[in-house]
Amino acid sequence: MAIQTLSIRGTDSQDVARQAREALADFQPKLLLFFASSTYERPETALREAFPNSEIIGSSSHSEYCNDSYTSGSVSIMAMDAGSVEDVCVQVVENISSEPDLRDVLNGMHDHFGGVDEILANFERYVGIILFESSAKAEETFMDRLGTATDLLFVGGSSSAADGGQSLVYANGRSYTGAAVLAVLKTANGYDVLKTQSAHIFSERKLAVTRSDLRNRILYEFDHRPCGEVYAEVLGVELDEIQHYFVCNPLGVVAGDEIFVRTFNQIQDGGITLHCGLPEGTEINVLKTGDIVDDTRKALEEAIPYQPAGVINFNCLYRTLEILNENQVEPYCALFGRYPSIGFSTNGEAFLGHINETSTILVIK
Amino acid sequence: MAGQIQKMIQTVITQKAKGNTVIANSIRTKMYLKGIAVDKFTPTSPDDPAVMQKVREIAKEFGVIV
Repeated sequence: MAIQTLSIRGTDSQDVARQAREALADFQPKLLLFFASSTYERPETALREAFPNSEIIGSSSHSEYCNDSYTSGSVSIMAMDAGSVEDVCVQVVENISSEPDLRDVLNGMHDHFGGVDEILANFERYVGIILFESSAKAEETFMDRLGTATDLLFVGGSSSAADGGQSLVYANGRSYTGAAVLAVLKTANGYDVLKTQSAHIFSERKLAVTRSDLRNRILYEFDHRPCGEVYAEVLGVELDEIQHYFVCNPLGVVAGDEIFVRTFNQIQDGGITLHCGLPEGTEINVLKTGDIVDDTRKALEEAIPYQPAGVINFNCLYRTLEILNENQVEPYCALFGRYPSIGFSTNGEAFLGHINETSTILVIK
Repeated sequence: MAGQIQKMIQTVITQKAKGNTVIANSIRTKMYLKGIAVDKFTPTSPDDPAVMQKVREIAKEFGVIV
Protein backbone atom coordinates (compact mmCIF):
# COMPACT_ATOMS: atom_id res chain seq x y z
CA MET A 1 0.00 0.00 0.00
CA ALA A 2 1.53 3.31 -1.09
CA ILE A 3 -0.38 5.54 1.32
CA GLN A 4 -1.75 4.89 4.77
CA THR A 5 -3.91 7.22 6.85
CA LEU A 6 -4.32 7.29 10.61
CA SER A 7 -6.47 9.18 13.08
CA ILE A 8 -4.97 8.94 16.55
CA ARG A 9 -6.14 10.27 19.87
CA GLY A 10 -3.41 9.88 22.48
CA THR A 11 -2.74 10.82 26.06
CA ASP A 12 0.11 13.02 24.80
CA SER A 13 2.36 13.45 21.78
CA GLN A 14 4.59 10.53 22.79
CA ASP A 15 1.54 8.29 22.97
CA VAL A 16 0.41 9.48 19.53
CA ALA A 17 3.85 8.79 18.05
CA ARG A 18 3.98 5.34 19.69
CA GLN A 19 0.54 4.44 18.26
CA ALA A 20 1.58 5.70 14.83
CA ARG A 21 4.80 3.67 14.89
CA GLU A 22 2.85 0.52 15.83
CA ALA A 23 0.24 1.08 13.13
CA LEU A 24 2.96 1.67 10.53
CA ALA A 25 5.32 -1.06 11.75
CA ASP A 26 5.75 -2.61 8.30
CA PHE A 27 5.61 0.66 6.39
CA GLN A 28 8.55 2.86 5.38
CA PRO A 29 7.19 6.38 4.87
CA LYS A 30 9.11 8.65 2.57
CA LEU A 31 6.93 11.54 3.69
CA LEU A 32 4.75 11.82 6.75
CA LEU A 33 2.17 14.63 6.76
CA PHE A 34 0.29 15.32 9.97
CA PHE A 35 -2.35 17.69 11.27
CA ALA A 36 -2.26 17.78 15.06
CA SER A 37 -4.78 19.36 17.35
CA SER A 38 -3.08 22.25 19.09
CA THR A 39 -3.86 20.50 22.36
CA TYR A 40 -0.76 18.33 21.77
CA GLU A 41 2.60 19.69 22.85
CA ARG A 42 5.59 19.18 20.59
CA PRO A 43 4.11 16.51 18.31
CA GLU A 44 6.89 17.22 15.80
CA THR A 45 9.58 16.04 18.24
CA ALA A 46 7.76 12.84 19.16
CA LEU A 47 7.05 11.96 15.52
CA ARG A 48 10.64 12.75 14.54
CA GLU A 49 11.89 10.26 17.12
CA ALA A 50 9.40 7.64 15.97
CA PHE A 51 10.14 8.10 12.26
CA PRO A 52 13.81 9.18 12.03
CA ASN A 53 14.16 8.19 8.37
CA SER A 54 11.12 10.04 7.03
CA GLU A 55 10.60 13.63 5.98
CA ILE A 56 7.94 15.00 8.32
CA ILE A 57 5.82 18.11 7.86
CA GLY A 58 2.64 19.25 9.57
CA SER A 59 0.43 21.90 11.02
CA SER A 60 -1.47 22.55 14.21
CA SER A 61 -5.22 22.31 13.81
CA HIS A 62 -8.53 23.42 15.20
CA SER A 63 -10.09 20.16 13.99
CA GLU A 64 -9.04 17.26 11.84
CA TYR A 65 -10.40 14.97 9.17
CA CYS A 66 -9.34 11.38 8.42
CA ASN A 67 -11.13 9.18 5.90
CA ASP A 68 -14.81 9.40 6.92
CA SER A 69 -14.24 10.90 10.36
CA TYR A 70 -14.17 14.40 11.80
CA THR A 71 -12.39 14.94 15.10
CA SER A 72 -11.09 17.60 17.42
CA GLY A 73 -8.33 16.69 19.83
CA SER A 74 -6.75 14.14 17.48
CA VAL A 75 -3.83 13.83 15.10
CA SER A 76 -4.47 12.91 11.46
CA ILE A 77 -1.50 11.35 9.69
CA MET A 78 -0.84 10.46 6.08
CA ALA A 79 2.19 8.25 5.51
CA MET A 80 3.43 8.02 1.93
CA ASP A 81 6.02 5.47 0.85
CA ALA A 82 8.07 5.30 -2.34
CA GLY A 83 5.12 3.69 -4.11
CA SER A 84 3.38 7.07 -4.12
CA VAL A 85 6.13 9.62 -3.46
CA GLU A 86 9.51 8.75 -4.94
CA ASP A 87 11.32 11.75 -3.54
CA VAL A 88 10.57 14.85 -1.50
CA CYS A 89 12.38 18.11 -0.77
CA VAL A 90 11.36 20.16 2.28
CA GLN A 91 12.29 23.79 2.94
CA VAL A 92 11.16 26.27 5.58
CA VAL A 93 10.91 30.01 4.91
CA GLU A 94 10.83 31.96 8.16
CA ASN A 95 9.64 35.51 8.83
CA ILE A 96 7.34 35.53 5.83
CA SER A 97 5.87 38.91 6.77
CA SER A 98 9.19 40.45 5.64
CA GLU A 99 8.21 39.41 2.08
CA PRO A 100 11.37 37.39 1.38
CA ASP A 101 12.70 36.77 -2.12
CA LEU A 102 11.94 33.12 -2.82
CA ARG A 103 14.03 32.56 -5.93
CA ASP A 104 17.03 31.02 -4.14
CA VAL A 105 14.80 28.72 -2.11
CA LEU A 106 12.93 27.52 -5.18
CA ASN A 107 16.07 27.19 -7.27
CA GLY A 108 17.47 24.94 -4.56
CA MET A 109 14.30 22.84 -4.59
CA HIS A 110 14.39 22.59 -8.39
CA ASP A 111 18.05 21.53 -8.22
CA HIS A 112 17.25 18.80 -5.71
CA PHE A 113 15.34 17.05 -8.50
CA GLY A 114 17.84 17.79 -11.26
CA GLY A 115 16.77 21.28 -12.24
CA VAL A 116 13.88 23.11 -13.85
CA ASP A 117 14.19 21.24 -17.14
CA GLU A 118 13.64 17.88 -15.41
CA ILE A 119 10.62 19.26 -13.59
CA LEU A 120 9.09 20.76 -16.73
CA ALA A 121 9.73 17.56 -18.69
CA ASN A 122 7.85 15.56 -16.05
CA PHE A 123 5.51 18.27 -14.86
CA GLU A 124 2.65 15.83 -14.27
CA ARG A 125 4.65 14.14 -11.51
CA TYR A 126 5.90 17.13 -9.48
CA VAL A 127 3.68 19.01 -7.05
CA GLY A 128 4.15 21.15 -3.97
CA ILE A 129 2.50 21.25 -0.55
CA ILE A 130 2.55 24.53 1.35
CA LEU A 131 1.71 25.01 5.03
CA PHE A 132 1.52 28.57 6.34
CA GLU A 133 1.61 29.53 9.99
CA SER A 134 -1.35 31.84 9.90
CA SER A 135 -0.41 34.61 12.35
CA ALA A 136 1.88 36.32 9.83
CA LYS A 137 -1.09 37.20 7.60
CA ALA A 138 1.22 37.45 4.63
CA GLU A 139 0.01 34.53 2.55
CA GLU A 140 -1.20 36.50 -0.48
CA THR A 141 2.15 38.23 -1.01
CA PHE A 142 4.02 34.98 -0.40
CA MET A 143 1.89 33.06 -2.90
CA ASP A 144 2.34 35.85 -5.43
CA ARG A 145 6.11 35.66 -5.08
CA LEU A 146 6.08 31.87 -5.08
CA GLY A 147 4.09 31.97 -8.31
CA THR A 148 6.72 34.09 -10.01
CA ALA A 149 9.63 32.02 -8.66
CA THR A 150 8.32 28.67 -9.90
CA ASP A 151 5.80 27.08 -12.24
CA LEU A 152 5.27 24.23 -9.79
CA LEU A 153 1.75 24.04 -8.42
CA PHE A 154 1.60 24.38 -4.65
CA VAL A 155 -1.49 23.31 -2.72
CA GLY A 156 -2.09 23.83 0.97
CA GLY A 157 -3.45 25.97 3.73
CA SER A 158 -2.81 28.02 6.84
CA SER A 159 -2.56 26.62 10.34
CA SER A 160 -5.36 26.82 12.85
CA ALA A 161 -5.66 26.10 16.56
CA ALA A 162 -8.22 24.96 19.08
CA ASP A 163 -9.49 27.59 21.53
CA GLY A 164 -6.52 28.83 23.55
CA GLY A 165 -4.05 26.77 21.51
CA GLN A 166 -1.04 27.96 19.58
CA SER A 167 -0.93 28.01 15.80
CA LEU A 168 2.24 26.36 14.47
CA VAL A 169 3.69 24.63 11.45
CA TYR A 170 6.21 21.84 11.67
CA ALA A 171 9.09 20.47 9.62
CA ASN A 172 11.51 17.70 10.51
CA GLY A 173 11.37 17.96 14.26
CA ARG A 174 10.98 21.73 14.65
CA SER A 175 8.02 24.04 15.09
CA TYR A 176 7.69 27.48 13.53
CA THR A 177 5.58 30.62 13.78
CA GLY A 178 5.39 33.26 11.06
CA ALA A 179 6.79 30.73 8.60
CA ALA A 180 5.89 28.69 5.53
CA VAL A 181 6.79 25.03 5.12
CA LEU A 182 7.28 24.02 1.49
CA ALA A 183 7.51 20.44 0.27
CA VAL A 184 8.00 19.46 -3.36
CA LEU A 185 6.94 15.88 -4.07
CA LYS A 186 8.04 13.74 -6.97
CA THR A 187 5.02 11.47 -7.19
CA ALA A 188 5.23 7.95 -8.57
CA ASN A 189 1.96 8.06 -10.50
CA GLY A 190 1.04 11.72 -10.77
CA TYR A 191 -1.48 13.94 -9.04
CA ASP A 192 -4.50 16.14 -9.50
CA VAL A 193 -5.34 19.41 -7.80
CA LEU A 194 -8.87 20.36 -6.95
CA LYS A 195 -10.26 23.61 -5.60
CA THR A 196 -13.88 23.79 -4.57
CA GLN A 197 -15.90 26.54 -2.97
CA SER A 198 -19.57 26.75 -2.25
CA ALA A 199 -19.86 30.25 -3.57
CA HIS A 200 -21.46 31.22 -6.84
CA ILE A 201 -21.82 34.48 -8.72
CA PHE A 202 -24.63 36.56 -7.19
CA SER A 203 -24.30 39.50 -9.55
CA GLU A 204 -22.68 39.62 -12.99
CA ARG A 205 -21.76 43.25 -12.34
CA LYS A 206 -17.96 43.60 -12.23
CA LEU A 207 -16.57 45.88 -9.54
CA ALA A 208 -13.08 47.30 -9.99
CA VAL A 209 -10.95 47.73 -6.89
CA THR A 210 -9.76 51.34 -7.22
CA ARG A 211 -8.33 51.88 -3.71
CA SER A 212 -7.08 49.25 -1.30
CA ASP A 213 -4.33 48.49 1.21
CA LEU A 214 -3.14 45.07 0.11
CA ARG A 215 -0.68 44.54 2.97
CA ASN A 216 -3.26 45.30 5.66
CA ARG A 217 -6.10 43.64 3.75
CA ILE A 218 -8.28 46.77 3.73
CA LEU A 219 -10.65 47.54 0.88
CA TYR A 220 -11.66 51.19 0.42
CA GLU A 221 -13.17 51.79 -3.01
CA PHE A 222 -14.93 50.07 -5.87
CA ASP A 223 -15.17 52.10 -9.07
CA HIS A 224 -13.87 55.21 -7.23
CA ARG A 225 -16.72 55.08 -4.70
CA PRO A 226 -16.79 53.82 -1.09
CA CYS A 227 -16.79 50.03 -1.30
CA GLY A 228 -19.54 49.57 1.29
CA GLU A 229 -21.84 51.87 -0.68
CA VAL A 230 -21.29 49.91 -3.91
CA TYR A 231 -21.61 46.55 -2.14
CA ALA A 232 -24.95 47.65 -0.64
CA GLU A 233 -26.09 48.81 -4.08
CA VAL A 234 -25.30 45.41 -5.65
CA LEU A 235 -27.16 43.57 -2.89
CA GLY A 236 -30.05 46.03 -2.91
CA VAL A 237 -29.84 46.69 0.83
CA GLU A 238 -29.24 49.71 3.05
CA LEU A 239 -25.63 50.66 3.77
CA ASP A 240 -26.06 50.19 7.51
CA GLU A 241 -27.16 46.59 6.96
CA ILE A 242 -24.21 45.33 4.92
CA GLN A 243 -22.37 43.58 7.74
CA HIS A 244 -25.30 41.16 7.99
CA TYR A 245 -24.47 39.99 4.47
CA PHE A 246 -20.71 39.58 4.86
CA VAL A 247 -20.86 35.81 5.47
CA CYS A 248 -23.45 34.88 2.85
CA ASN A 249 -22.22 37.27 0.16
CA PRO A 250 -18.41 37.25 -0.01
CA LEU A 251 -16.37 38.62 -2.90
CA GLY A 252 -14.74 36.63 -5.66
CA VAL A 253 -12.08 37.11 -8.30
CA VAL A 254 -13.50 35.25 -11.29
CA ALA A 255 -10.71 33.92 -13.48
CA GLY A 256 -12.32 32.09 -16.37
CA ASP A 257 -14.32 29.26 -14.79
CA GLU A 258 -12.57 29.53 -11.43
CA ILE A 259 -13.66 31.63 -8.47
CA PHE A 260 -11.15 32.79 -5.86
CA VAL A 261 -13.13 33.77 -2.77
CA ARG A 262 -12.25 36.73 -0.53
CA THR A 263 -14.23 37.01 2.68
CA PHE A 264 -15.04 40.05 4.75
CA ASN A 265 -13.79 40.64 8.26
CA GLN A 266 -15.21 43.92 9.53
CA ILE A 267 -15.88 47.58 8.78
CA GLN A 268 -12.81 49.54 9.87
CA ASP A 269 -10.96 52.80 9.21
CA GLY A 270 -13.29 53.98 6.48
CA GLY A 271 -13.01 50.68 4.66
CA ILE A 272 -13.75 47.00 5.08
CA THR A 273 -11.08 44.55 6.21
CA LEU A 274 -10.88 41.24 4.39
CA HIS A 275 -9.27 37.89 5.13
CA CYS A 276 -7.27 38.21 1.90
CA GLY A 277 -5.98 41.45 0.42
CA LEU A 278 -7.07 42.64 -3.02
CA PRO A 279 -4.64 44.56 -5.24
CA GLU A 280 -5.87 47.69 -6.96
CA GLY A 281 -7.05 46.97 -10.49
CA THR A 282 -8.64 43.64 -9.55
CA GLU A 283 -12.16 43.06 -10.82
CA ILE A 284 -14.48 41.17 -8.52
CA ASN A 285 -18.02 39.87 -8.38
CA VAL A 286 -20.29 39.67 -5.36
CA LEU A 287 -20.98 36.01 -4.60
CA LYS A 288 -23.63 34.03 -2.75
CA THR A 289 -22.87 30.95 -0.69
CA GLY A 290 -24.39 27.58 -1.51
CA ASP A 291 -24.60 23.99 -0.29
CA ILE A 292 -21.14 22.83 0.83
CA VAL A 293 -21.87 19.10 0.74
CA ASP A 294 -23.56 19.15 -2.63
CA ASP A 295 -20.95 21.38 -4.25
CA THR A 296 -18.10 19.30 -2.79
CA ARG A 297 -19.68 16.06 -4.04
CA LYS A 298 -19.97 17.44 -7.57
CA ALA A 299 -16.40 18.71 -7.53
CA LEU A 300 -14.93 15.43 -6.25
CA GLU A 301 -16.89 13.27 -8.67
CA GLU A 302 -15.91 15.43 -11.62
CA ALA A 303 -12.22 15.63 -10.68
CA ILE A 304 -11.53 12.12 -9.36
CA PRO A 305 -12.99 9.51 -11.73
CA TYR A 306 -10.51 6.92 -10.42
CA GLN A 307 -9.38 5.39 -7.14
CA PRO A 308 -6.62 7.67 -5.84
CA ALA A 309 -3.79 6.58 -3.56
CA GLY A 310 -4.56 9.45 -1.20
CA VAL A 311 -6.44 12.72 -0.85
CA ILE A 312 -5.37 15.72 1.27
CA ASN A 313 -8.14 18.21 2.07
CA PHE A 314 -7.34 21.72 3.25
CA ASN A 315 -10.83 22.77 4.28
CA CYS A 316 -11.58 26.30 5.44
CA LEU A 317 -12.45 26.53 9.15
CA TYR A 318 -15.52 28.58 8.19
CA ARG A 319 -16.73 25.65 6.07
CA THR A 320 -16.14 23.27 8.98
CA LEU A 321 -18.15 25.52 11.30
CA GLU A 322 -20.89 25.79 8.67
CA ILE A 323 -21.26 22.03 8.22
CA LEU A 324 -21.24 21.62 12.02
CA ASN A 325 -23.94 24.28 12.28
CA GLU A 326 -26.00 22.64 9.54
CA ASN A 327 -25.51 19.14 10.99
CA GLN A 328 -23.83 18.09 7.74
CA VAL A 329 -20.61 16.61 9.13
CA GLU A 330 -21.56 13.01 8.41
CA PRO A 331 -22.50 13.47 4.73
CA TYR A 332 -19.48 15.73 4.20
CA CYS A 333 -17.07 13.22 5.71
CA ALA A 334 -18.70 10.37 3.79
CA LEU A 335 -17.54 12.05 0.58
CA PHE A 336 -13.92 11.72 1.69
CA GLY A 337 -14.43 8.28 3.26
CA ARG A 338 -14.32 6.88 -0.26
CA TYR A 339 -10.57 7.55 -0.36
CA PRO A 340 -7.59 7.25 1.99
CA SER A 341 -7.73 10.88 3.07
CA ILE A 342 -6.75 13.37 5.72
CA GLY A 343 -7.46 17.04 6.20
CA PHE A 344 -7.80 19.84 8.67
CA SER A 345 -9.73 23.05 9.22
CA THR A 346 -7.59 25.83 7.80
CA ASN A 347 -7.30 29.56 8.40
CA GLY A 348 -6.93 30.22 4.68
CA GLU A 349 -6.30 28.02 1.69
CA ALA A 350 -3.59 28.09 -0.95
CA PHE A 351 -3.60 27.31 -4.65
CA LEU A 352 -2.03 29.77 -7.11
CA GLY A 353 -2.94 32.42 -4.55
CA HIS A 354 -4.30 32.80 -1.04
CA ILE A 355 -8.00 31.98 -0.85
CA ASN A 356 -10.83 32.06 1.70
CA GLU A 357 -13.90 29.91 2.32
CA THR A 358 -12.57 27.19 0.02
CA SER A 359 -11.31 23.64 0.06
CA THR A 360 -8.03 23.03 -1.75
CA ILE A 361 -7.39 19.37 -2.37
CA LEU A 362 -4.31 17.44 -3.47
CA VAL A 363 -5.08 14.07 -5.01
CA ILE A 364 -2.17 11.66 -5.22
CA LYS A 365 -2.69 8.99 -7.86
CA MET B 1 -3.93 52.43 -30.97
CA ALA B 2 -5.83 49.55 -29.48
CA GLY B 3 -5.30 45.90 -28.58
CA GLN B 4 -1.75 46.22 -27.23
CA ILE B 5 -2.69 45.01 -23.76
CA GLN B 6 -4.17 41.76 -25.05
CA LYS B 7 -1.04 41.18 -27.14
CA MET B 8 1.22 41.80 -24.17
CA ILE B 9 -0.78 39.41 -21.97
CA GLN B 10 -0.67 36.70 -24.63
CA THR B 11 3.08 37.17 -25.00
CA VAL B 12 3.59 36.67 -21.27
CA ILE B 13 1.44 33.53 -21.20
CA THR B 14 2.95 32.03 -24.34
CA GLN B 15 6.57 32.69 -23.39
CA LYS B 16 6.15 31.45 -19.82
CA ALA B 17 4.10 28.36 -20.63
CA LYS B 18 6.30 27.08 -23.46
CA GLY B 19 3.42 24.95 -24.71
CA ASN B 20 2.41 23.50 -21.33
CA THR B 21 -1.34 24.09 -21.00
CA VAL B 22 -1.36 23.59 -17.22
CA ILE B 23 1.28 26.29 -16.82
CA ALA B 24 -0.54 28.54 -19.32
CA ASN B 25 -3.72 28.32 -17.26
CA SER B 26 -1.85 28.94 -14.03
CA ILE B 27 -0.14 32.03 -15.47
CA ARG B 28 -3.53 33.37 -16.59
CA THR B 29 -4.90 32.87 -13.08
CA LYS B 30 -1.83 34.42 -11.46
CA MET B 31 -2.33 37.50 -13.64
CA TYR B 32 -5.97 37.75 -12.54
CA LEU B 33 -4.86 37.57 -8.91
CA LYS B 34 -2.29 40.31 -9.57
CA GLY B 35 -5.12 42.57 -10.74
CA ILE B 36 -5.16 42.04 -14.52
CA ALA B 37 -8.56 40.84 -15.74
CA VAL B 38 -7.07 38.84 -18.60
CA ASP B 39 -10.24 38.07 -20.56
CA LYS B 40 -11.47 41.64 -20.41
CA PHE B 41 -8.87 42.77 -22.93
CA THR B 42 -9.66 42.32 -26.62
CA PRO B 43 -8.13 43.53 -29.91
CA THR B 44 -10.29 46.66 -29.59
CA SER B 45 -9.44 47.49 -25.96
CA PRO B 46 -7.89 50.96 -25.63
CA ASP B 47 -4.17 51.05 -24.82
CA ASP B 48 -4.47 52.32 -21.25
CA PRO B 49 -0.90 53.35 -20.29
CA ALA B 50 -1.39 52.48 -16.61
CA VAL B 51 -2.55 48.95 -17.42
CA MET B 52 0.23 48.51 -19.98
CA GLN B 53 2.78 49.51 -17.36
CA LYS B 54 1.30 47.05 -14.88
CA VAL B 55 1.49 44.23 -17.44
CA ARG B 56 5.11 45.19 -18.19
CA GLU B 57 5.93 44.94 -14.48
CA ILE B 58 4.25 41.54 -14.22
CA ALA B 59 6.09 40.38 -17.34
CA LYS B 60 9.38 41.46 -15.76
CA GLU B 61 8.57 39.49 -12.60
CA PHE B 62 8.01 36.44 -14.79
CA GLY B 63 11.27 37.09 -16.67
CA VAL B 64 9.51 37.94 -19.93
CA ILE B 65 10.14 41.04 -22.05
CA VAL B 66 7.11 42.55 -23.75
